[in-house]
Amino acid sequence: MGGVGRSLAGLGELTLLFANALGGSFRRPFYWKEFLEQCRLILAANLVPLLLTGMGFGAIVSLEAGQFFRAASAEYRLGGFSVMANVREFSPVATGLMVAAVSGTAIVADLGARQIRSELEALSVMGLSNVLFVVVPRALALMLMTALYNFPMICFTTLASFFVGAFLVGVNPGGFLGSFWTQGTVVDVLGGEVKCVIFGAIVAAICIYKGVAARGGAEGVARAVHSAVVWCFVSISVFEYVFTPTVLALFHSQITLR
Amino acid sequence: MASRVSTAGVAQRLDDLFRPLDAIGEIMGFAAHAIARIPASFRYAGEIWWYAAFLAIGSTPVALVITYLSGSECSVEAYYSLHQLGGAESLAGVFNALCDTREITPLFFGFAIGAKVGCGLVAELGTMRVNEEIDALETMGVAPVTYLVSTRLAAALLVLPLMYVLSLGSSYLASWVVQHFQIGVVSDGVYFAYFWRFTNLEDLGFSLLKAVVFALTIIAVAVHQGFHVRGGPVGIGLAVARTMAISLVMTVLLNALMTEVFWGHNPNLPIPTS
Repeated sequence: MGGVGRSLAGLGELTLLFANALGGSFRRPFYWKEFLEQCRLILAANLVPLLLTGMGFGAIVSLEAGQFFRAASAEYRLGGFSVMANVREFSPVATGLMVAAVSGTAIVADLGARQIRSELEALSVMGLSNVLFVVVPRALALMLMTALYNFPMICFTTLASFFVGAFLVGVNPGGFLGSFWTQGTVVDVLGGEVKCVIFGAIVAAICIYKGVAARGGAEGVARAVHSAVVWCFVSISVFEYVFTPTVLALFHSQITLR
Repeated sequence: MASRVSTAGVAQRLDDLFRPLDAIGEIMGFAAHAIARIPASFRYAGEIWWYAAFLAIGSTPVALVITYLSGSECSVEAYYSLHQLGGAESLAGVFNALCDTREITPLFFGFAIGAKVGCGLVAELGTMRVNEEIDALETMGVAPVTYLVSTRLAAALLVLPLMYVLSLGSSYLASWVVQHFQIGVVSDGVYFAYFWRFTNLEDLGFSLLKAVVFALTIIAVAVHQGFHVRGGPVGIGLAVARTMAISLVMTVLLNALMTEVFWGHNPNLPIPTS
């Protein structure tokens, strides 16, 4: 019972912190330099891992679905299936998981180390608001960069699907491209973007809270990073499962065959 | 003079290019060293059982929850994408059998193990390293690799295959729950007829092999990173971040490679092809 109460209290604190961050992003001063620096860190750390995971995800879509469609003599549908699998599902999810794993953990480690050395208190003694200087730039940078990284990720996954489909599975390239462009719509991409912004918000809320709440030396930081990763992954999976049926129910035209 | 500077620059570039390969070589060497000492670690059976119990109790719920959600996601997509093909919803069982058994469950099991077990190992071993407990072990005459790393590898090999079988069950259950209660278009009879028709022992074996390879890779990365942490609390945090990135990328790439090897030539579908 005590455990449940503590978890609920933690969830409340996390929500309050994130609400403060959202409110704080409209307050002056806005620390542009810190924001751009965080964006740069996320940009530099994620590029290669995202490229590699994108290739892996795109390849399995073509390998499994391509074999299945070929058995059903409908190979050209692989392009349309790739819109559903790559653009709608795998790109946002892989981007969210990767940003959580690479940048989220780095933010927890950084903030946790500052917290246990009382550097955050030192900042507020110096008259810098912790929310405005530490929390807001990181939260906004995570949300923006997750959303922006979705576009290159769509390119990576779809290109991998195309090349694996065309050269390994033996799908007609023209048929792949034809059904890809007829099936894909802007709503698919925008749905993925909304998903990515919310993934970024989830990662920001969990990681910043866990970092600021770290207690008890090196072991405390390690524990904070560990639990932040687990909670990010579980929350991203839960949100992903709730979001897809909701969007497909709202935009019913997305489930028709073109 | 100018040419000398540029050759040095090129050598530097090449060094940078091969550094990831160096890191992979180091990780594999460390893992091989630790695996070779597993027989010697049986004298610390208490440590093995303790860590096996810790894994089974602490990590199974996370793996089950994440694979349950991934199974639900598969099933939702199965309905919508087959509906798109002009009312082929009755084939949802086929989609789920392929999606759950072959791809998504091993992949998300790998993610769950990376997040829960991998990060936990780095955090634990890294804390010991920073607090100089590993050096203390060495001083006491206990081989730290045997006592800390080989015991954990043995425990993981003992527990993780069983945990994967449970996770696979969890994702199958989730796929059926979504079809039966959330969507409710396909009758249970049709669903299970297709589902069991497209599930066979070969696929299950390959799926288990995938999961075991992912788990071993992740744990090899994690023990290496945790054992060699430098630089206090920040060092531990950075080591966890690095482990997470490496293990995610390795899981996804190995998954694509193993899919091609296992099913690329022989799709193993009970459909007569020309």
